[in-house]
Formats: sequence, C-alpha cells, structure tokens
Amino acid sequence: MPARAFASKARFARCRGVARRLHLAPAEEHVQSGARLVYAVLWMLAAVSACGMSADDLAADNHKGAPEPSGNATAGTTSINPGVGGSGGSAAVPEVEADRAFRIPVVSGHWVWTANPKSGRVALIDAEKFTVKTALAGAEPTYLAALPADDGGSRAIVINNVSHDATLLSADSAGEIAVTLSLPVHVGANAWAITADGRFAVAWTDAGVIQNPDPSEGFQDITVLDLSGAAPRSKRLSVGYRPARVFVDDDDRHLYIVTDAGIDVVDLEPSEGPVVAREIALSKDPANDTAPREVEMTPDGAMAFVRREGKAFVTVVDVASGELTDVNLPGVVTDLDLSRDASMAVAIVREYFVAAESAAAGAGNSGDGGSAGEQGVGGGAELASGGVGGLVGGAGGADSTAQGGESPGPRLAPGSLAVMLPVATIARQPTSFQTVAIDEVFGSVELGPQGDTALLYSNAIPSSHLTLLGLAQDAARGRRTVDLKVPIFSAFASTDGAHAVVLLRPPPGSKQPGAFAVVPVAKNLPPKIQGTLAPTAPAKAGDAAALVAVTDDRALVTVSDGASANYTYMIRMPELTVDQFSLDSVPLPQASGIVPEANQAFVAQRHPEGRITFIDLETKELHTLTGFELSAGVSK
Amino acid sequence: MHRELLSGSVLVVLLAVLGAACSSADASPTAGSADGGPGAAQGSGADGAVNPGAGGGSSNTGGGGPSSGMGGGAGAPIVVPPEKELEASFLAPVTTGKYVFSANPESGRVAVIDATTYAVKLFNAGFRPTYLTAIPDGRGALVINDQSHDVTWFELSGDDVKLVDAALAVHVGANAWATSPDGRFAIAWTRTEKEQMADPTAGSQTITVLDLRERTSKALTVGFHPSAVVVDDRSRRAFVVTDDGVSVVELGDDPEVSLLAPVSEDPLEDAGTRDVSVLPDGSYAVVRLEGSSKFRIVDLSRDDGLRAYELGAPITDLDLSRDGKLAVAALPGVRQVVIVPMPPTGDAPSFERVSIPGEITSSVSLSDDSELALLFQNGDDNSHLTVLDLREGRSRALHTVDLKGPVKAVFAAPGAASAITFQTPITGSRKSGLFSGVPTLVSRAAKIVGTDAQPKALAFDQAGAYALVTVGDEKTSVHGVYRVRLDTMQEDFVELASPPAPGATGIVEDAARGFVAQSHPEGRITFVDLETARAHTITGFELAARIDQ
Repeated sequence: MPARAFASKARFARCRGVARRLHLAPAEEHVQSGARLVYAVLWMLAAVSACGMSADDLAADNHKGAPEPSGNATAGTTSINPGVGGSGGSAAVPEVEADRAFRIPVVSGHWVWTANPKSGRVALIDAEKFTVKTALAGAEPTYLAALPADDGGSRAIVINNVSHDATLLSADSAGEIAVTLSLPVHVGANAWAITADGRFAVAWTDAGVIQNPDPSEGFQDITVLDLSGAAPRSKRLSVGYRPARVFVDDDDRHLYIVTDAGIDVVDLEPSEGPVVAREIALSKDPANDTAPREVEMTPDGAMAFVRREGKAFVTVVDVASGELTDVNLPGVVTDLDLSRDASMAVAIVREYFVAAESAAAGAGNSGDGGSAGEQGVGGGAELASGGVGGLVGGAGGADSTAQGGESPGPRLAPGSLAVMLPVATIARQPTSFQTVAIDEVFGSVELGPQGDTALLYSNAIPSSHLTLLGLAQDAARGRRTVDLKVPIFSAFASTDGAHAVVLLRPPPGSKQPGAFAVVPVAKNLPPKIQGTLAPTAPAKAGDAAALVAVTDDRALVTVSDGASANYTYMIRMPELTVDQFSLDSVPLPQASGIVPEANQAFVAQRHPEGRITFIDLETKELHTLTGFELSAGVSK
Repeated sequence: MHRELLSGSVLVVLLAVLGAACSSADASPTAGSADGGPGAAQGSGADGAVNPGAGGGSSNTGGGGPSSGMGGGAGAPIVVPPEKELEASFLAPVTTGKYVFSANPESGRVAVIDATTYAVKLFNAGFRPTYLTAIPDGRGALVINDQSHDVTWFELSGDDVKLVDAALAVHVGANAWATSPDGRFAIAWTRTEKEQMADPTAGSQTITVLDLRERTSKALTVGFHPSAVVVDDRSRRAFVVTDDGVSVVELGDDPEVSLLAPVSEDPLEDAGTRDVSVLPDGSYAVVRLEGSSKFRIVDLSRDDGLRAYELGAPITDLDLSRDGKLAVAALPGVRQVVIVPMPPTGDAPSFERVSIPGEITSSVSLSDDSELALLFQNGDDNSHLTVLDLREGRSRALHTVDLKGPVKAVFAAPGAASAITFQTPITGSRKSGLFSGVPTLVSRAAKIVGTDAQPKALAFDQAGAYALVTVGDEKTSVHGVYRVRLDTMQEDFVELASPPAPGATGIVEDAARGFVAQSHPEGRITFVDLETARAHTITGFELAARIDQ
C-alpha cells in the first residue's frame, strides 16, 4: 500500500462515485509528527449507485456456480458449476471498488476542524473539553485538510468553493484561530494532497466524486501552494484528463498524479517553482488504450502497477525510465493492491481455467501455485505446481478466455487465484511470481496498513466467505476462510492488522437492514456478526454505505437510512464487544472518525445549526454539541 | 493543410463559422488568403475522397470524387472523407508597436488605441475606412477607404501616430492587403467573396501596387479570381494565385506583371480543386489537386516550368514549411505521409515516407520552423492527433494523443512546443465548443477545455508562451476569451460583454497584452494581460469596425 495516496483509489468509469476501501495510517502520519496516531475514517459513499446497479444486480446473472458459503480452502467442499466457463463467466462483472470516494478526515491532536460552506466559517472543536472556536474563511469553505503544527496547536487549510481560494488557518494551544493567509486555487478544486513536512499543499479535483460530469470536463487543473517562507505562493499546473489519485513520494519532492492519460510527475522544488516534469504513459498505445484502470504506486515513487478492467495482465511501470512491462496472468485481474512496505503487489484473478482432467480431479485442493510457467508457452502451460493443478493459458494468456489445452478443453477452475508479484524483480522477470489457488471465489483484496494478511472476498457475487491469506515471506502462506453468514460488501483491516471490520449486505427480506462483522485476523477465533438498524451497504443507486473508522483497538461503524434510523456502533477489540448508539440526526458524509488523543470518537450530523456527537472510547459516554456551525464536512 | 503566415510570428486564426464549415462539404477552399506579411504562403482547398493504393492512373482533371483504384495495399480499403480547410479561413489582425488600429466605416474614423495606457486617439480617414493592414517593421498602418477608393496612411513617429499626407488611390472593390517584408510595397487586391464566385463578370482581376517609398500607386491586371497574394522574402516579386495560374508581378520602381505561370496543363481544370502554395523565395509554387495522387511543382520564372510527381495514393493535404525547404503530403489511404524536399531534387520514389500505423491522418499542419508535422483527420469524427517530429536526430518519432473530441483544426504555436486544436464537442457533452492545448515536444497531457460557446479565433504571442482563444455564440449570448499559458496549459476565462468581432483577436507584443474587439454600437475592446489574465475593457468609442493595426 502506498504511503501517501490521496483521495480515491482506482477510477473505473462504470463505477464512478463508488466508495471503497481505506488507506489508513500514512495519511495521518505525515500530519502528526511522530506518527503517534493511527486512525481512519471510511466513508462508503454512494458506492454502487454510481455503477448504476447494485451488487445484487451485478451478481444476478453471473457466476451461477458461486460457492455456497460452506467452503473451506482445504476442505474441497466448495462446488463450482463448471458450466459457466467458456465465455469468461462473471469475469466481466467488475468488483465494486468500495473505497472509491471516501476521504480520510484527519484530526490534529485533540482538535477537530469543520467547515460550514453556508456561513463561511470554519470551526475548531476541542474533543477533550468540547469547546468550539470559529473563524471566517472565504466564500463557501468546503474542503479541509490538516497541516503539521507545533505542539499543542493545530493548522488546517480549506478550499473556498466560491471564492476559488484557500484559507490557511492556525490555532494556538488554547484553540484561538488565526486566519494566516489566502491563496488562489483553480475553479472546482475539491481535494487536497499535503506533503509530510507541510510545505506544499496541492489542491486538485477528484473527478470521481463529481456527479455526471460533462465529457469535456477533464478537471485537469491542480494548484500547488508553497506555504514556506514569508511569501507563500500559488501556482496552477495542468495534468492529464480526469485525475483519480495523487501520491506524494517519501522525500516530499515529487507528486504523482494518476490520470486517464498516465502518471504526471510534478517536481515540487525546481527554482522556477513546481512544474510538471514529465508524464509517463501507462500503455504502449495510450491513444487507443481506453480500458478503465487502477494504479498503485510504491511509496518512493519508483514503480507503478496498473490493472485494467477486463484484462488478464498487470502492467509494471518503471517510473524513472518509463519502461512498461506487462505481467500476463491466467485470467482477468479483478483487483490489485500493494503491500505497505511495497515489497509485494497482490493481484486477484477471480476466474481462470484449468485443464479438464485437472479440474475434475483436483477441485477443492488448494495450495501454492509456485512459480509461473514460461510466458505464452503453447497456450496450455501448467502454471501451478500444486494445488488445483494445471492452469490453462499459463502466464502467456492475455485474455480472460484462455486458449489452448488438450481435449476435452479447459474448464473453469473452482476457485480464484491470488498472485504475489515481487516488486523488486517483477519488471525484470515478468514470469516469475507466486500464485496461490484457493477453492474460494474472490475478486477483491484488501491488504490493510500492515499488509501481513490479505483479506480476500468478492462483492460481485453474493458470497459470505472471507479468506485470510498470510503474506509473510518467511512462513508458509497460511490461509483460512471464514463464513460470515451474510454476503460481503467490503472489508477493512484494523491499523495493527489484527482484526478486520467487514461490511455485509443482508439479502432482501432479512430482518436487519444491515450487518457487519468483526473478524479476528491474528488469531483463529470466531467472528462477531452484528446486525444493524440501518443499511451498511447501498441498497440502490444514490444510497450511501456505512461509514467505518478503525484504529488498533476500536472501530466505529455509522449507519443511516437517510431519515430517522441513525446509529453508530462502537467496537472494542480484541473483546469484539459492540455497543449501539442512537444519533439524533443524519450523519454527514465524511464526517466521522476517532480522536485517539482525546479518547473520543465523533460523528458530525446534519443539523441547521450544526451537531456533532462525541463518544468516549472507554466510558461510552455520549456528548453531543448542537447549535453551532458544524453542518459541513468534518476534517481534522 | 495550409495556414497563412503573418507578419511577425503572431498567428491569428478565425474560425467564424467552424460549426457550419464542419458540416459543409464545400468548406471554402478558396478563402484561404489573409493579408499576408513576409513570406506569406497561400492556402487552398483540400477536399477529396481517398482510396487506398490508387496506384497511378488518377486524373488531374478529376473533380475530386473517390478514386476506384485498388492495387498495392493489403486489407480493406481505407475510405477517407474529404478534409476541410478550416485553418485557411482566418483573418489576421496585427498590431503596430503598442498600438491597435480600429476602423469605423460608418463614421469615417480610425481609432488608435495605446495598449499600454488604454489611451484612444481618433483620426479622420476617407469615405468608409474599412480594410486595415500593418506596415512591416512597425512603420504604421494603411486603411482602404471603401467608398472613396483610396488609402489613408498612418505613420508611427517616435511615440506618436500621425497621418501621412499622401494621395494613394486604389481600385474599386479592393478589400485585402499584401505587404512586402521591407515595408516598401503594399498591394491592395480583391478577394472574391463566396457569393461572387459564380459571377463570370466578377473576376476581381485588378490589383493596386502602392510604393510607399515613392508614394505612388499603380493598378495592374492579373488572372481571374485571385485567391492569394504573397510577396517574396526579398521584396522583389509578388505572386497572385488565380484561376488562370500564378500572376508574377515584378515590383521595383515600375511594377508590372511579368508572367502568368500555369499551374496545370489543362486550362479547363477546375481551379477550385487546387491548393497552390508559393515558396517564400518565390522560386516555385507547389500544387495539390483534390483527389489526385500527384502534386505539381511550378517554376515561377518560366511559363513552361510545370512538373508532376506521382505519390501512388491520393494526397488529401500538402503543407509547405515556412522556410520553403520541405513539404509534407498526407496519404491516408496508405497510412503514410511523404516528406518532399523543396524544390524536389529527385524522383518521387526517392521521397521519404513515414508510416502512421493505426491512424488515419489526412490533414497536415506544419509548425513555423518545420519542427513538427501535426497530423489529424477532420473529414470524419476523429479525436486523435499525431505528432511527427521532423527535427534532426529524432528519427521521425511519432506519438498520438487522444483529445476526446473530434479534431477540426490544429495550430502549432511559435516554437512548436505546443499546439492548440479546435474541436467539435465530445459526444454526449453539454458544452457548445471544445478546444485543447497540446504539449508537442515533450510528453505531457493535453488540456481538454469544454467551452460554452464555439471557439472562433486564436492568437499566439511571438514567443509561443501564451495564446488567446476567443469563443462566441450569438444565440446564447455567451462570449469570452481564454488566456492560455502554454507552458502549464493553465487557461483562464474572461467573459466578454458583447460578441467578438470577426478577425479581431490579437496580441500587442509591445504591451504584453492580447485584445478582443467586440461588436458594439459605440465600440468596445477588451485587453487581456498575458501574464495575469486580468482584463480591461474600453467601451464607448468608435471601435465598431474590423480591428487591425
């Protein structure tokens, strides 16, 4: 997982606006010197809505042989209907990128910043004392980000949506706010990327969160604010069409902006001011390569990994040289994630084919696949040395419908593949990687901040199975599959990787409209399944998903039906106890989180005069502030 | 595809009827002349369907219909819709020093605006002063008085502008200018308006040569329907491209027509199917014939200097470099462009061919110094722009960018580091117009800009650092101008209170400001600071006419 990835992850045209998974600690670490806090807030906005269909819809006609939720990776009891093979089966149905649209509200120490676009004010709340101070910003302050600050104080910067500028705010240890300066930003800026040292704040436009944009709107402007020195400066630059993600490298020197056109590399520190130093194409034929794609980058900005929707390969990009290497995999790659230490990229192949006899004989036997075969060998190379047997198409197949194989022809394998791509060597040795075949169908992967265990699941089919796959190099790749009883929508690892919070999608007719599970990862203990009084996964287009915040030992799941059913659930880990709290009003999007320094969780809510509820992480005591200007999104 | 080269390196392009022209099959190929400055090259039509591998045998007398030739290439035939010469339809406002000149035919006055102070000075001219041009080297400006059939001459003297007391008559109907690079000669001529083309009596065959040194004027007769007038880079000869051929005018103390150089062996050939360009030194003309696989070279010193070169597939466009050293021909039927040294030193097989794999590129736009050939297709909806690097040591590198919306016209900025494309809106777009800023020498993303009105005009500054893109829509009353920083492709929109006037977008280099004159009963002009994009509008004086300088 890249260290500092800002805003949305992959952008897939068909799933624009889909909220998805969290990128946890790093964003906080660069804000909090000393990296003392790790927390996160996940907001699953309007996720499936942007796809124009629910996950049920997505799954309805596909993968008819989806496993009953009783399988186990080693038991071989999972049954797959081989009849769905041939044309690629459900490979055409993309996994829902549930971490798409969330931002990560960050809290500066015990302070919570919030902006009110209507009043033009920004409020600073002391989460320990519950005091509030406000200050006037520009016209319609909306998008906040925290900046590093001296001990005890706090700094934030907010984009003013109407005046097209950004206001820098500083607070002393008493919470007194001073408006430091204002700098112009481009029209439509709605996101921030901040360097760890706080020198540069980059306003950009996350196209993925804009509803129904005109195709001629490329959102190609970024504004780099240099906040250093006596005369902070603002400079506008243009990047590729429809920026989707922004990365800052470890040394705060370069910014990497993933767009439809490729990766724009912004050098932040040349003498003439920030410039777009170069653009790296992500394809050898960029003008004609229009498949939606997902890009991951290593923290040092040296390598990028590209997955394309519906394609059976991953492109490895050497950022320095621009060299592209396609790593061919046995089937369509449905998800891709990078470990936090950037040593490994994990690609998921939800469907692949095996030789008929192998499939017949070996269904249910999973195991490490070993090294890949030679690329493109005869179209029928046996890839895996163990487990499910021969993978048809080997590493040479570039399409989901693998070719080759002896009579009676290839058959759909009963499970899915997790492919471990070693970052250090994969560009030089594109056929050298490890494959783990598991008799479970999964299409999504979540590595979490620690990256020791991959959380494997699918939300393209109604599957209740969560597979935990160990990734440690020095140990056998242990794995186990947990049945969570209810189909999975998305999964999130706790910051220490010891637990996972999994949002579930109860089937129609369920007594509870929503549910989530808390899954021990580090220990083989049973999960806690918790029904909720409001949906956790979007039921239809336009609905929002639950908001999730996770630390090592606490998690907060906030749900709402958009009307009267508004609840937040506080989870204690490792006890796996869950406490339910009723909220007085509808929670605001992107406005919930945990303030470890104050030992509080918070949920900002929709209210004409502002409302925010704090929950003591120990005593569970509620403290609701109402009647001040807090009606906008909350940030740190 | 040809583009006028203007005095200085300021390029101004007017696509007043872009949308209409795009949907019209007869997109004004003969309207390609602007008031040219030194080395002005002439544009002409490029319509013509293409068929692949038309292996010889195409007729020079053809009317541009699709060839049925097969031969050569493998695979399915590539049928390319006719290209449209949109770049050729621009007019060219120019400035003199820090001044912008604006004529008002109704009042008989010419306004001179100091672009640094915004001070306005009014001069009485003749009867209906209408057609302005700048005199090269910042010497001043001339205006044709449409009703009194004479010229008013403005001279820059130090930091002042004054009228020159000289009676210079011009012929009736003069409506266009060409000037010699040394500023001694100005040639008033008559560009045949579209509606007059069918009138056999409207030959527009008179030109008037003004000798500004001797303060004399002399009328001469040239061929039928002049479409362009250029002066060679030594200011010795002028060339008038006409239906009959190229009329060669010897300038000097007693100007005279010395030669009519034929551009076709068939005197009945439809001149509307020809695209004639003159090399800057006046030595040769290059002729492309619509639908033909041949192009011709005409020696302008002789009356029998016509040669033809067979390229093996229909040539849909041919662009001549500003220095006249090479021409690039588009052969989309075989997915190639042909680079021809000028004048050709060998036979056609010796010409260098560059393959453009996977792309149909039927239009060519060369940068000023021939660093790049910008290849595209505007005869069909094609959003791709291919950049061919012609510089030494670049091995004819190619890269193609997808600009999302169909490309209609392409203009390289001075220095060739970037280009501006005018496009039609992307399918499904709610926008009325579209343009893009394209970095060309380095790999950077193109900036796609949807606009609420159609792009109408474009001006670059001489350094190629800034561009102005003027947009306007009479129906929606949306008018404005984009200031584009070409290094970062930052674009800033300045709303205009009234419709931009045709041909009235330009750059005042000495003031580092751009301007857009607008249609307004009392005159209106908006200046845009190129560095800051701040606008300053002057309203209420006589600026209702076409702006020039």
